[in-house]
Amino acid sequence: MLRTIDAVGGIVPRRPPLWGALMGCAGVVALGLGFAPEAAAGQPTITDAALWETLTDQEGWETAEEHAPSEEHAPSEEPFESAEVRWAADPAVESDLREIFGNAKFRYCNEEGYRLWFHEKDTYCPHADVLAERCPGLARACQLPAFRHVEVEEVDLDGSWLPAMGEVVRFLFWLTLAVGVGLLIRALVRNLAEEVQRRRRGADEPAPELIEWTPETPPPPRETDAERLLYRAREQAARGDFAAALGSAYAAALWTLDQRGLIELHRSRTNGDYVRQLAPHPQEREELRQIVRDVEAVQFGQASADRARFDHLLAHVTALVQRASLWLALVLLPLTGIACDGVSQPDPPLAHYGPDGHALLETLLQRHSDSAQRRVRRLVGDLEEVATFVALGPTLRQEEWDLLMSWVDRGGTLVTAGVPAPLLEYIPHDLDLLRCEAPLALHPSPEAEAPGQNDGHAQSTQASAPPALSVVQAGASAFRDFPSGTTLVSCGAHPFLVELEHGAGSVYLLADDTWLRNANLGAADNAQILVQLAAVPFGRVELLGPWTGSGAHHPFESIHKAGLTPWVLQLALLGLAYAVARGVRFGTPRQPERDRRRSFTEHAEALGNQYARRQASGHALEQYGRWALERIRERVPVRERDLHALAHAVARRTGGDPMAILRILVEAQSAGQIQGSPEEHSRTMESLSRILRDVGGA
Amino acid sequence: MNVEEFSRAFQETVDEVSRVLLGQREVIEHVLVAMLSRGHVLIEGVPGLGKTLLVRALGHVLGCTFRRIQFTPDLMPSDVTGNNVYNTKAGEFEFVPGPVFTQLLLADEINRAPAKTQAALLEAMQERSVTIDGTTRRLPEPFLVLATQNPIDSQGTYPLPEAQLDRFLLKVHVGYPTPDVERGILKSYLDGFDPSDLAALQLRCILDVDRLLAMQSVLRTLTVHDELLDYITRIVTRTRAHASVYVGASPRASVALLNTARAAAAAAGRSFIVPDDVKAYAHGVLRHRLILHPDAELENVSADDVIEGILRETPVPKSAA
Repeated sequence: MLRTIDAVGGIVPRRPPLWGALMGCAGVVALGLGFAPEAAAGQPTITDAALWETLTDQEGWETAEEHAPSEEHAPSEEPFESAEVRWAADPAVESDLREIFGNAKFRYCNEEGYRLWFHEKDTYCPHADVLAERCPGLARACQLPAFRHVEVEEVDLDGSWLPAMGEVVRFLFWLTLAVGVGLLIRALVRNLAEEVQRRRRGADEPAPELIEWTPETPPPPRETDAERLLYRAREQAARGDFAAALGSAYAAALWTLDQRGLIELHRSRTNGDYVRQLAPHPQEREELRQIVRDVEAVQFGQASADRARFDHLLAHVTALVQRASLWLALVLLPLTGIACDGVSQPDPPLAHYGPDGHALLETLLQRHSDSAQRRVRRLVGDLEEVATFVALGPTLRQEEWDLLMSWVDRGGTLVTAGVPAPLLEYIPHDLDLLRCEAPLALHPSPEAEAPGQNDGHAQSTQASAPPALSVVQAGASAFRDFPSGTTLVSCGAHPFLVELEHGAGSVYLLADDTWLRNANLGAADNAQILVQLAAVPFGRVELLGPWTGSGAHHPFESIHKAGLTPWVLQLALLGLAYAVARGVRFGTPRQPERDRRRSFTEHAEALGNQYARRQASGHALEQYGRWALERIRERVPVRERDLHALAHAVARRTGGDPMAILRILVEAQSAGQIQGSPEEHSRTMESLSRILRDVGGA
Repeated sequence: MNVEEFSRAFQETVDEVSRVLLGQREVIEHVLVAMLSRGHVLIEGVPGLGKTLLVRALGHVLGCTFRRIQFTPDLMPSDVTGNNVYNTKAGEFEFVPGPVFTQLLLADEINRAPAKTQAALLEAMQERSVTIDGTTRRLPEPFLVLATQNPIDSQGTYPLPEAQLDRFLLKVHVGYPTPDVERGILKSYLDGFDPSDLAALQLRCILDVDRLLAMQSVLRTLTVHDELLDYITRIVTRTRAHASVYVGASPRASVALLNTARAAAAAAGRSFIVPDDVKAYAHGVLRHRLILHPDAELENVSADDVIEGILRETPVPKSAA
């Protein structure tokens, strides 16, 4: 049993001792102030002994039986076993309801012209007068025509990878993929074969001498992966070749820093240059300074390369490399966290705020609990951090049901809207549902209305016993009977909300899953009932629903659920193949281009660009025209200096139209005086250039 | 004296001189390296940057004698080296030594004197002796010439011939101080700093002549790997084949680069030189030894640009990995 009875008559959720003590104190204060009329009326209250027991309960888990007076367990004459609870109206819930329904997201409550879906109208509109008390928009929406419900055909992505491709495109796609994979495999095999041959040759032949990398000789292939270099360094050290080991370890440090972007490797840079480049990173600079000191003492000094020096250097190099790995991990971890978010609050769809949604349920539980969230991750492992589960039609696996019910067995609280079929395995009853037209009655309810006295609308019953809370439900289903549970709400002679003890915990079974939807939950005192059933002020409430199980426990599951497994595997394969084939990081450092002088053409081009920027096409034409005329006169000598004679001479040599040539020459000569557009100037220059080429010059 | 003591003495000397000459630590180091390498320094910079103060402070800290010559167009060689003067009392010629007979000599605005006078000084720099009337006289040890020249004022000057420039171990540019340093200079003047009264600053004498000579001898014990010799050779050789260079650096430049690298290594507390030592002094050693093509000068290519390009193209000896 998860709940106990507090002094003011409400259900008190299971709480840790401190909370129990606080509530106990609250009860005492309430008694003193006279806010517990049921106590004065002889209703069951916590006795001093029970209160003491509550305060001293080290386990923090209490049962009603432990605190309720013994007479409460006496057989009841009523149709149902009387509930051992007292329902109390919490003013905060009422104000919350007003505030939540005032949220513009609840469009059906606030928007003029909001139209319901057909099934919503069918379910809720017959009882709109009751349901619309806090949500007047519902009554207006019921007056408008409904949308017809459209079944959306779900596309089965598993069966068709390329749904939008035609046959030819699909063939080309697979062909391209096959060719690509084939080439990759070929390159991989060839490279591996070469490597094997190289190793065989290496075993037979003496080791080649080191080739000095000078600009005149092509650079030898270099290992640039820091981890491999470190591995190589350890191998060399194990062989006793400490000088080479120092070199490899130093190279690992440099490549690590280069890949982190802290230094830029270049063959002309000295070790001191790298240390100076690390000036903004004092930690790395000090590490590298230590490394450089060891390396240079061996390479350029008289120091010997020995185990002690190698170990000293390796410690610094490892620190550098591991720091790089740490950075990478720090970058990736948040992404991993996003991928593995087990309990998250995805942005709910609009329907979430419609009459059929559960936005009100979630919001109320959030406000009256420590936290209330949807559980996206599957139910696995330890559930002890959760105080209450509210099941809204989840599709759980059998092992998840086992886990959930064993958790209830250990004292958890489960509220289910409707009775999921797998749950029946744990409940020793055949639960038949029937449609009940009687009003709902909250228990204890000594003056519950008899079945059949409903008015044909919302089934509403005022609980005659204090406090006066009412429960309503549009179109209620109810259990035919429920012999062993404690009925908290009934529909006539049939149980509607039943509390079933399961081990040390409780299961609250709602016969109708629509009771927790926005439209129903916001009516009458349903929200008060819910809060007292499910909310835990210092506990965590999780909602189980169709979304449960859609989250991932680890990045791989996330990738799998996103349907990205084939692509990620291909990428990983590609990366692996590339790493095996090249053994270097992606991309090879390139030498910067050498500085060189500008050629004459570049000068001319730069000058032309200057003219173009200033839009000095007329000036450019004048300069070019003057130069071109001189060249034409050189190549087509004529005695007369006038353009007319020159044009005829050019025409005779080129076979062109003398008048057209004359016009171009005149334009070239007088370009400085003639106004024209850049396009016209450009055309004239091209014509001049053509004439110049025709008479024998570029 | 070992390398550690060398390094400690070097740093203490630099620190002490830096108390007087604010913001010019690199210049101080270069001058000291040149002195320890038995070379001379040509300092190029506009007037008022503390060149004279540097030499005076250095002389004070090193415990060396200090003289200054202001080079003018009418300065004669004997004004530098000294001369035989007839002593009427003794009835014989008596040698009166010139200002060159000192340990630290500041040749201020050396390019204002004619070539003949310059040559007299340059002979003293190279041979560390002067010959007058057939008699050769040794100069005191150590002997360091700091010659200055103004890069802007070219009227009435006699530029040093390239062959003579080659005798300077280093050419150092002295630039303007940063605003912060200049503010510090002003504050020191407000606090009563008087450059003409170094005694008031209580500068410590870090070294003496014996220790200075001992430091010079330490340099000969340093290890120089063959790869470093190749590196120096490659750098100097490339100056001779560079497209912008008309006359490249001489073998004397290679020796100068080696010597300065050794001094730099010892100053850093190392008993061996590394490529960084060579690179650090490549500009100072080479910049005054390169004669650029006229077209390169027209394109504003400087000797420093050429050296920088060569250093960028010359692979540094590194580990085999």
